[in-house]
This record gives sequence, C-alpha cells and structure tokens, in this order.
Amino acid sequence: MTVHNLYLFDRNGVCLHYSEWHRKKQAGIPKEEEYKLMYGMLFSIRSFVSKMSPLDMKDGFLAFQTSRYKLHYYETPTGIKVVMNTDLGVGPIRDVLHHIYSALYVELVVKNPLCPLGQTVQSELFRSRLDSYIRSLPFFSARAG
Amino acid sequence: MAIFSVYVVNKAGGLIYQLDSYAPRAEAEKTFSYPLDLLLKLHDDRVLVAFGQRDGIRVGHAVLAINGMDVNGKYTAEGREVLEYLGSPANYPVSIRFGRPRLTSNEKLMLASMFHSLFAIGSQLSPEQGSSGIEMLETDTFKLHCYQTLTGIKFVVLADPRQAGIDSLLRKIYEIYSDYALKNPFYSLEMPIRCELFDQNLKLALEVAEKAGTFGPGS
Repeated sequence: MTVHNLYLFDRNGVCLHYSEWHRKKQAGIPKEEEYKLMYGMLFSIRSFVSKMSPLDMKDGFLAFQTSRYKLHYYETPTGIKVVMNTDLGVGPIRDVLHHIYSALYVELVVKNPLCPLGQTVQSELFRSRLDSYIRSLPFFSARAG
Repeated sequence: MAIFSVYVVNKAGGLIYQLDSYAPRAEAEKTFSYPLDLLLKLHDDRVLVAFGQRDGIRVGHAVLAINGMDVNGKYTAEGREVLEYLGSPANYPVSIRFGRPRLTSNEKLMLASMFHSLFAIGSQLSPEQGSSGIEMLETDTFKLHCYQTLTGIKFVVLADPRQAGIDSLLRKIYEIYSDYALKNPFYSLEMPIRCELFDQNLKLALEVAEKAGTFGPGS
C-alpha cells in the first residue's frame, strides 16, 4: 500500500504543487505537459460524469482505478483540485484529501501573505509539512519496491 | 441495487451497442403562476433551468412536460416554442415537470468516444508500469465498470455503487457478444450490433446479475 504522487490544481488549471514518492514510470512527456494532460483528463471526466449520471450528484467524481493504480480526486467549491495516485489496496480517502486542502493548503499557503495565489507554491514549509503528512498516513509504506 | 446501462465501444472509439436497463429519474412536477420565478434558458435544443433552485428542481434540470404533455425539444406538444409559451401570462397557471435531461443518441455516441479517450489517457498517466486503462470509475451516484478485450472492444456497465458481481457480468457480456454477434454471419465487425439474440441474452444476463449479485463460475 503506497502513495505514488500528488497533484494540486487551482480553478484555472495551474498546477500549484506536485510531489512524488514512489513513481516507477514517468509519462514520457515534459512535466508541464503532463500537468495539462492530467487537468484536462479530470475536466473531461467531470463533464462526462455529470452527463452520464442517472441522478443529481452531490460529490461528483470520486476516484477511478486501473489494473495498477487508483486515482483519488477531491474538489473544493472554489475549484481547488487535490489528486492523489495510490496503489490498489487503498480505500476511500476523501477525508485525507480534505485535510490536505484545509489543514495544509489553506493554513500554510492561502493564509500566508507572502504566498501569491494562482501560481506554483514556493513555500518550503508547505512542501515539508505535506511530505511528513503523507509519510505519516497509515497506507503509506516507505518500502522502495 | 440496479444496473443502469450497458455500452459496447469498438476499437476506434465508436459506440456499437447501447442498452438502458433501469433509469431512476428524479422528477418534480409543480404548478406555477405568472411570473415564473425560475430563469429558463435554451441550451442544445432543450429548455434548462439556469437559476432558481427550489423544491427538487435543480439547476440543469430540463423542462420535460407542460400540463402533462411531453415537450419535444424546445417546442411544446402543439408545436409552440416553450419559452414563448411560458412568457405570456395568458397561459398560466401552468403545470411543468422538471427533471434530469435524458441523453440523446448523439450525446451517447459522444460520451462513448470521450470515455474511449479517457481510458487511454488513464493508462498513459500511470505512475506504474504496465497499467491498463480505466477499469472502474466511482462517483457518489453510480459506478462505471469497463472491460477491454484483447481485440480492443470495450464493454462498459453503469451500475449502482453497491452492486456486486459486475466483473463477472462483464465477462458474461463478452461471452454473449462472441456467441450472438461474432458468430452471426450477417454481422460485420466494428459495426453497430443489431442482433436480436444478443439483445435477449444480454437482458437475461442483466436480470440474473441484479438478482443473484454474481455469476457462478463457467455459467
């Protein structure tokens, strides 16, 4: 059980933060393009899901999984998107993603007068706190395999 | 616990079969007097609610029927424009039924192709080696399961999130496809499936899946 990587997007598609822990395969395209592709995929999935849904949705798209990884998604009403790729053994972690938004992003970036919003987060405090939070999660195992 | 629909997508991303087996519809019918306190707008040949959510009528809901008669796109059953009809006070009080708009065949085609691309992107953005595309997509109202065969055909099933046994159902649908569509000499590959036996057996399989929750091995 492990966490592969984490993306944070704002409402305009700007990638605010990206970190990886155990990633075995790179996408084969430059990082900037990978962020745009990821954002575009999530935007399309949201639109797809809202059309396909037989009933009115409350939380919307939650997660998807393939044969090797699971992507968890959480979006705030302000358009901030937290995306986490984990392996298949991990269950619903909406509360973890919400914590990343409320206790880390809002506290350390939004409330920081020196952090400009709408661009990649430069704050070292945010990066290190996020890293230690992820490492402390019960489903994160530090093994390299 | 129900299976909502089945889609079969060919190698190129085109929809070749679609079945809606169960459609829970959230609809609200209310009587209104002039002036209407909802803001309606025309979108894509339908009249949608743009503003004024209340009592089960949400933003994005379409006008389904006026005074009990189903509307036809943006025209009423009599052929008058819905927005014009609802704009004149002489037609009030009027009873309007709102609900989630049903998908047209064109929209289903587009959504199937969209899913085909998303499936491929899911595989490309994988942080692990050798990943398949999206096999299961979860939302709070439905779960979408997808099985891609070695020949590139995708069987997509939309079901209630709590429904079990969809994996074996997908394999069963593949079996039914190879028995009643592929072995049919009049069926051309990658074309829309118009085989009665395929329809019948698929409906039977869906019923069995909903009741039993799972298929036995080798059934």
